[in-house]
Parts: sequence; C-alpha cells; structure tokens
Amino acid sequence: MRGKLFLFLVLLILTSFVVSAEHVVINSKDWKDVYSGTLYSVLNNFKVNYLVSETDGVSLVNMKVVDKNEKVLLLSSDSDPLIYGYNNFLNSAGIETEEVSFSRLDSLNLKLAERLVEEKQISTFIVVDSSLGYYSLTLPYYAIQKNAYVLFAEEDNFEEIVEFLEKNALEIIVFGRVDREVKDALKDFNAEFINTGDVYADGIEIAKKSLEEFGNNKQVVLTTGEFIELGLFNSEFPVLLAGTGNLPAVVFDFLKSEDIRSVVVIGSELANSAMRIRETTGANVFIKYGKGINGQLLALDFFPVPSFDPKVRINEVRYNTITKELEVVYENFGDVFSFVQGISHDLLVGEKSLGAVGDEEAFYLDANEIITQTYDIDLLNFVNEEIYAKSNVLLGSSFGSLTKLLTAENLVEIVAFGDDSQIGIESVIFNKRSKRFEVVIKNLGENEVYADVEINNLIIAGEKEIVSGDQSKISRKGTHTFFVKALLEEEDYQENPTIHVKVRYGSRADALIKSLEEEFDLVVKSSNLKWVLVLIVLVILFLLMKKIKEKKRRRVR
Amino acid sequence: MVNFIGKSFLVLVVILSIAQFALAVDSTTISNATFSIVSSLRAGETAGTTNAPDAGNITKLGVDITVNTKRWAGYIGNVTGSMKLGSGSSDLFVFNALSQDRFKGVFAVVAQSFNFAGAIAADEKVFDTKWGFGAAADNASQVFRETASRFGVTAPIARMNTRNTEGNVTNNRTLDTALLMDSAAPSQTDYAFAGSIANSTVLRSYDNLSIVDFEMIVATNDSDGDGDPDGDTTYYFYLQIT
Repeated sequence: MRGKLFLFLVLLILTSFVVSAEHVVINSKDWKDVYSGTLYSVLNNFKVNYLVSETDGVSLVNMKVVDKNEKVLLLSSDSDPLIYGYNNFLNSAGIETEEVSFSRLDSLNLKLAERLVEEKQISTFIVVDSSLGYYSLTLPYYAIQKNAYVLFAEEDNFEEIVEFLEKNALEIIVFGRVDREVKDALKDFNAEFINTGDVYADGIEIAKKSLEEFGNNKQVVLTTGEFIELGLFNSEFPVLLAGTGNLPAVVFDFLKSEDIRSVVVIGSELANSAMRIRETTGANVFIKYGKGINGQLLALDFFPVPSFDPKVRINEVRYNTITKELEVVYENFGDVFSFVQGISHDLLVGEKSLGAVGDEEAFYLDANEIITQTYDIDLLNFVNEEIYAKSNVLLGSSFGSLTKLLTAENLVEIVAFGDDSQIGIESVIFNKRSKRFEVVIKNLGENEVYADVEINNLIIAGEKEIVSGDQSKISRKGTHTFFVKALLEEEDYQENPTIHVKVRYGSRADALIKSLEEEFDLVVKSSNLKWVLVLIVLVILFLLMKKIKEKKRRRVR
Repeated sequence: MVNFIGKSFLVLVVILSIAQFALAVDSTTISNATFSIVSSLRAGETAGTTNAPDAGNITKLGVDITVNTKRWAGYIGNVTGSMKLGSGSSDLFVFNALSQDRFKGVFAVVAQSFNFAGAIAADEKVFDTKWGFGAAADNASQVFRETASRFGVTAPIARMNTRNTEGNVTNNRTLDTALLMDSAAPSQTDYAFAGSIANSTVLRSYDNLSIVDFEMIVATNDSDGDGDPDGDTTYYFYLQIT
C-alpha cells in the first residue's frame, strides 16, 4: 500500500512538471519572477506575457493575445499575485492552463532553473545580486545566446544557490557586485567574475563578451534600466544601460569603438539620449515607443525594477563675504549613497550672469549625510542685490557613471563667518572585533569644532568602497574618537596597507567647509577578549592544579 | 575648488499621436507613453441592390460590392517634437517645434526586435507565402505595387491616399509604406512596415479629418481561423530620428 502511495505521489509530482505549454503568462508583482519567467520562456521558445496591471489579465484574453488554441503555463505567485484567481479566470474563458505556484520562500527563479536543467540541459549560469534589478537587464541577450540562465543570489538564499550550482553547473559567471558570502562560496567553482565596480561598465563588458562570442550585428538596445520590457529579452542584440539623464561616457565609447550602426532605445524617456547618439556617432537611432494590437495602440509592457534612485537636494546656497566663497549645502535624504558633481552653479542677478562655478570631480555623499561644498568666487560687488544660483548637478552610483541630473534654483544667502578652526588626526586604528575604524581627532583651535570622517579607497572583498561616520562636535582643545563602520576581514588587510582618511570640519555645524586628508598605515587592534580568555583558562588551570595537589597531600596524610 | 563654465542641456520632447483605421475598436486606456489614439474607424461594407424581376422585362444588373479587407490595417498620425534649453520643469528657452525632417520614419515590427542595421527590401510574393495570403485580391503583391528608394534600400512600396487643403484626393501620393525584412530567408516575423514621414503642414489624412505626418499599412493575420483578422498580430512601433 505504501509503495502504491509513493508511486502515486511520484507520478503526481512528475505530471505537475510536465509542460506542453506554448504560451507562458506570469502573474506576480515581483520583478524577479517576471524576469525569471520571461527568460525561461525565451529559452524555451515559448510566447510570453507578464501582467503589468490588474486589468491587464482580462485584456490578454479579450484581445486574444492568449487564445483558446494555446496551452498556457501560468506562473502564479501565491504571495504576490497581481490578480487573484487568474487561473480560474483563464479556465472559464476556455483556455487550458497548467499552473505553477510559488512563493517568496519557494522562489520561482530557482524553480525554473531546475526545470531548465531538465528541459534544456542548461549548465551555464550567471549569478547576480538582485538588490538592484537594473543590474541584471544587460544579461538576457548573453544568456539566451549562450543557453544560460540567470540566478539571483541573495543573503537568504545563497546556500541553496550554491547547492544547486554544485549539482548542475559546468560554467558559472558572477556578474557585478555580490555579497562576500556569495563570492567566497563560489570561489571553488572556478567561476568567471565580471566586476569593474561600475554598473554601466559591467554592462559594456558583457556586451563585448557577447560580440566576441556571437558576432557583431552592429546594433544595440539601450534602456534606462528602470523596467523590464520584452525587447530586452531578445536574441539578436546586446542591451546596454543608459541611465535616465546623462548618457555614460563608457556607452558612447562602446558605440564608437564597435562601429555600432543602429541603436534602439526603449521608451520615449530616452529621446534626448537618442538625439545625442545620432548627432555624435552618426548611428541610425530608433525609439521603440508603443505597440499595436487588435486595432488598439497601447503602451509598451513596462514592468518596474528597482534601480539606483538617490535622493539628493541642495538645502542652501550661501555666499560668505569673509572667505569669499560660495557654500553649497547638499543633503542626501534617501537610503542610498550617491556620488555628486555640481557641473555648474550659475550665479545670476536678474538675467545678468555673474559667473559660474562647479566641481572638478564627483564627491561621495552618504545616505542621510549633509556636505557643504565651497567655491572661490568674488561676488562682493553684488552682495546687496538678490543673487540666484541655478544649479545643474549630476548624481550617480560611481565616479564614472553620473547619469542622473538634479536641477535647482536657490536665492543666495549672504553670510559673514570666519572659520579659524584647526584639527589634527592623532591616530587611526581598525578594531577587528567591532569592525570599525577608530579615528582620534584633536581640536587644535581656540573654539569648538565640528567634524565628519570619511575613509576612501578601502578594498573590501575585492570591491573599492568609501565608508563614513557621523558628524560630531569636539570641544575646545579636546579630542574625540570617531567610529567608522567597515566590514573589513583579515583577508582584506593586505589589500589595504594604507588607510586614506578625509576629515571635513568647520566651526559651524552646517558648514564643514574645511577638509584634511592624510594617509596612515593600517593598524589592527586585536580583541582584548582573547587575552581575557587566556587569563581565565590559566586561572582555572592554576585552581585545578592547586586542588589536585591538595588531594595528593590529603592522600599522603 | 575651481571655477567651471556651466553646461546647457538640450531636452527633446517627442509627442506622437497615431490613429488607426480599418478595424473597429473600442476606446482604450493608454499610460506610460506620450501618444494617443485619435480615432479608430472602419469602412462600411455595402452590397448592390436587387430588383424583383418583372415578366417580359430584361433587367441590366449593376452590382457593386465593397468589402473590408481582412488582411490589412492602417495607422496614421503625427510626429512632433520640440527642443528646449534647460532641464526638468524649468526651461531657459524653448525653440520652435522640431522640423519633421528630424524624424525619418515610423516602423511597425512583429518580432520583439528588428535588425535595422541589416534591413533589406522584402519580396512581396515571398511575403504572401509566409503570411498565407496566397493569390488573394488583397495580397501583398496587390498592395506593394511600386518600388522606390526608402530607408537606404530599393523596396516595394504601397502608396497611401492623402488629401489637399481643398479636401480632394491628391495625385502625388507622398505618404507610403515600404516593405522591409531583416533576413534573406525570412520567417513571418522578420518583416517591418516602414511609413515615411512627410514634412508638410498642409497634407491631410485620407479621410480629410486632420493634417498627418504619416499614413501606413500593416498586415494582419487570422491565426485562430475564425475569419476575423482579430489582431493576433502584435506590432511594436519604432520612430527613426535623423
């Protein structure tokens, strides 16, 4: 009886995985499910649609995009469906379905990977961190050409991923930045790592790899990286990220060096970039902007993915008549860091331009951090007039990829503050146990001073990083220890023989207009706990020996 | 800190509007894009009238039947753009509307991607085979009757009707659709219908309802076999800029 029951269960499981589908429909709010299901469908040469709105599911049937002659494989999220009861809806419309359900705990990404191993004998996998979805949008073309699949490694699933790869992978590519745990776990797999430290350059790397391996059709697709669209899952042309504002220089260079003759940009948001590409490279440029179906003209199916979205604003613009400096106060009020470069602060009285200033290179602005940038300019003849600063500021996830444009107009406040603050960096030590740098700063001036510490160019798990602490006040003639968190492990020490410390400081809390930069040899403070433990063990041993001796003495008596 | 000369930004806004005819449709919601359906119409179907026969009379019958094609649909519309100096919501200067010369063509493509870099002229007879149009009166060979240089190749073209300012059908039909493909051995989805964009402020649409920048024709099929070209064919639209 038990044997029959077992056989029945095995058959039940097997039949639930038999797919004779021609058309895949994805019903999930999670972009990773949409990505995984779409890639799975294209690899299997199935038609595919993902739902982008609650009404979309009905439209698919009404417009006969999904029709009764097709068998539908419905990929339904139990935890995050866009439409509840969609399988029943399709069935009641006379459409034969096979439903695969999944949840957050039982991810579709890995489930489809298992199916592809069976159905398509896929043995090449590309591992990517899913925290920023746009990172993965450059991968489908390579994956489709290579007959490979993309796996999303996350903190809570990487053990499952590693186990899966152990069983099924012959070739592994790790794309972009991944957690240290993932990187360490994949070291033994002889994986190829593609990681330039810049998301746009990483996209270029995979595009170059594609051209080398599969040939150059002289055409590429550009996307902002903010959405999934079916054209990104094509089997003919590499996809490049273009950002939403300023087109990254690496993309321009690639278009020129590879003699790209046709560029397709997806969505009218990139019209400006399209014009620039046309004018600077001479390539034919096409904007994909809509779709026509059943006599109706519709928007493209854009499914949003998480992208780099910094929240930076200019809080204030001041002119300090004593220092003759323009002070621009930036605030990062979001959850992610950003590199910032003020490419122009145009100073105007009415329509008359008094000059313009800006940054030579980008600076780092951590989440919830306020930084004041200063610029030399003589405006003393205009301080009695209303001066406006029109600012154009670029934001981005790296020095080389400042792709977002922030514009602002501020009335320039006239202030007169001297700043005679002075500081010195006394010592820099990395505390191995608490995983933080301890930077001791001495106030050398006559008044209290405010300071903020930043450590640049750290190499952590092979990645270049900048870390910073919180701003603090140092009393007159006093010293203060600043703590800066850094996930530095022992294996990183040799990559960081010197530590580059930058301290912004000033006599006003909201105007750290001075800075001091110094380099220190890496000094690691080992935990005191080890010595305490050794001491405890020695005391215990001493007590034990004492007791044994006493026992021996008693026996002798 | 170093003085720096500010840059200006060119912001291009492309607004597209398209009307579709030949297939009757319901209104639809459009989001996420700056284009809209202006109208959607189909032609009426008529049959000749019949007279009851009278004894001794010989009746000469004139039969004139108009039937809507089930193999083609049309898209017409405008392409407009403007150029601004500025950024975001504030513009320092807005230039005159971009000339239509900045836009070369509107492409309707069946597949998710089309190799524009490798586009070549299609053979309308091969097209009829691939799309199953056979020797029908409204097959591609009947539609793409001429050839002309379009989009860098000498391609079969279908000329569209337009009207002049007086509302009369013009003889010099400047708006047309070229039939292109991106494979020497094409499948059904390797074709593109490419509508030329005219730089004219007086050219009126086939129905005299509006000024148009392009009119184009695309094929539809009937894959579910219910006799209605119900749009099983999804087209993706591209705008080429120059």
